[in-house]
Amino acid sequence: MTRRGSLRFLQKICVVLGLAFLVLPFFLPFLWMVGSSLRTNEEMFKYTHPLTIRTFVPLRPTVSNYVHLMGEMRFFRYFLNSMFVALSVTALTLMLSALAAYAFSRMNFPLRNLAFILVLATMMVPFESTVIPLYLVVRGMKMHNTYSGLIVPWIANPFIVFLMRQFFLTIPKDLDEAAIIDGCSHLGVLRHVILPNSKSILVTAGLMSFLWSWDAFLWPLIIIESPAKMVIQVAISSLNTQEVVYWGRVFAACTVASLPTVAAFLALQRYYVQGIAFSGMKQ
Amino acid sequence: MKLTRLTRRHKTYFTAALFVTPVVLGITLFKIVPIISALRVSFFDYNLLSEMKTYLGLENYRLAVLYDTRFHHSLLVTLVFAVCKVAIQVALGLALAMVVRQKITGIGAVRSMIFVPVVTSMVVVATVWNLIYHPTEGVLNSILSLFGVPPKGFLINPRYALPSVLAMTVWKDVGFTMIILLSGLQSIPETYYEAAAIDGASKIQSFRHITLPLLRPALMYVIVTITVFSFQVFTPVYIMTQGGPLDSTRVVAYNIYENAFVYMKMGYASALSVMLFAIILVISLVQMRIVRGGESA
Repeated sequence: MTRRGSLRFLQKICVVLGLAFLVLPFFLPFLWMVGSSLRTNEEMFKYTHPLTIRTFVPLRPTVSNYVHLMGEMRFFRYFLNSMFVALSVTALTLMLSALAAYAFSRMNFPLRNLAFILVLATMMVPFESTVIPLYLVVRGMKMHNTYSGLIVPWIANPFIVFLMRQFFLTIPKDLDEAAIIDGCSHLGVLRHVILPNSKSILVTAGLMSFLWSWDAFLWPLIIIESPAKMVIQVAISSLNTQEVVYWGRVFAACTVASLPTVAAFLALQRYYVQGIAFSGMKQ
Repeated sequence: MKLTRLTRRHKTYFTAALFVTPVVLGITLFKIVPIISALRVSFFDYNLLSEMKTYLGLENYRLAVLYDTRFHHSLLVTLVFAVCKVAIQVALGLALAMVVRQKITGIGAVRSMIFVPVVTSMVVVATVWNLIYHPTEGVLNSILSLFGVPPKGFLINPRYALPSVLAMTVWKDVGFTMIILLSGLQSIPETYYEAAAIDGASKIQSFRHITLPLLRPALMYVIVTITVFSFQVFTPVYIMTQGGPLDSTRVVAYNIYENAFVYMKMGYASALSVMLFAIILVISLVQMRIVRGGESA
C-alpha cells in the first residue's frame, strides 16, 4: 500500500516537473524582461553568461530605468496616448458593432443582405495591402497626425460585427419578442435583453479591439508625425534604434507596455477563452 | 389601421438604417474606398513627395512581374515563412492542446502562461527576442552553451535569420491555436473514445480515426487564419531584421512598406499591394474550398 502510494507521489512529481518544463519557454522571456528592467546599466549583461539564477534576477534591483523613462523621456505621455486611443476604439467599436449586429440578426429591412455581404467581404482584406490608399483617404480627410486619425478608421470592424451577429443569433428570439409586446423599443431590447445575455462575447470583442489598437504599429508609425501624439509601440521601437541604446529603459518600456493587456487578459480570461472558442466554432 | 401598420414598418426601417449606417459608412470609407483607390493608384507613377501623377497603365505590374527580382525573392521568403509557420504552429498547438486538456491541478495556470505572449504586443515581443537572440549578450546562446552548442548569430546570419523570426512568431501565436484546438477537442464526446477503447482501438488509432476527423473544422479554421496572417507579417521583420541580412527576411509586406514610405513610390507599392491581396484571396478561397470538399466527402 505504502509502496503504491509513494509510486503515485513520484508520478505526480514527474507530471509537475513536465508541466514546469513546458511552461518555462513561455515564462523565462518575461522573467528576463522584467528582471533586466530592474538592473543598472553596469549590471545589464554581466550575468548573461554563464547561465545562473542571476541571469534572470537582478543582484541589486533598481527602479531608476522606470524613473528615467517616465520623467525625462515622456514615456508616460505615450502610455496615456495609447490608452486613450485604445479605450476610444474599444468603446466605439463595441457600440457601433452591437447596433449593427442587432439590426443584422433581429430586424428585417431592405438591402439587409447586401449590407451584410459588404461587411463580410471586407473581413478578409489584409490591412497591409490597403495601408497606402487608407493613408491617402485619411490624409484627404485632414485626419493625419491627429488622434481621430488613429481612432476613426478602426471603429467599423467587420470581424467584430460578424462575431456579435453570430452570437446574437444564438439568443432565443421569444425573449425579445416578449419585450417588444411589452412596449420595449429596439434600443430597449438591445440594452435590456440582448446585451445582458452576451457578456462573454462583449468581453471577447472588447479585449480583441483593445489588443489590436494597443498593438497597432505600422498605422501610427505612418500617420503620426508630432512626438506629442506618439503611441507607446512606436516609442519603444524608436528607443531601440537610437545611437546609444539604454537597454534597461527598453526593457522597462516593454514591461510597461505589456501591463495593461496582460492584466486585462488575466482578469477576464474566463470570458475571453469562451468567446475565442465560440469564434473558432462559428466559422 | 393599414396606415399605422405601414408607418410602423417604416419606423422599423428607419431604426434599422440608424443602427447599420455607422458601420456601413465606416467600412465603405476605410475599407472599400481604399481597395478601389489602391487599384487606381497602381496604374500610375505616383510619388507622394512631388505629388506628380503620370498614368502608366499596367506598367507597374509588368515591371514587378517581369523584372523586380527583389519582389520575386520577397514572395518566396513569405511563402516559406507561411508554410513553415502553419505546419509548426498547428502541430505544436495541437500537442499543447492535448496536454492542457488533461485534468491536472495547476493546468489552468499552464494554459494562461502559454496564452500570455498572445496578449503581449508584437513590438514588445520582437524587441525582447531581439536581445534573447543577441550573438554576445543574448540569453539563448548562454542556454545553448549548457548543451555544448557554440554561439550563433541568430539574426545576423542569413541562414538563421528567417527561422529565428519564425520561431519567435510561433512562440507568440501558438497559444491562440492551442485554445481554438482545445475547444475543438472538448467538443468531441468522451463516449466515442470509450466505444473505440471497448472495440480494442489503440490510442494512436483513436487519434487518427476519431480526433483528427472531428477536429477538422477547428483545424481548418486555424490553418486558414494562420496562412492569411502569415502573408501579412511585417512588424517582427521591421523590428528585428529590417528585411536583412542579405534580404533573407524581406517579406512582401516589408518590401511594400519600403517601396511606399522609404522610396515614396506609391503607385508601384500599390501594384504590389494589389497582387498581395489577390494572392491572399486566392489562397484562402482554395483553402476554404478544400474545407467544404472535405465536409461533403
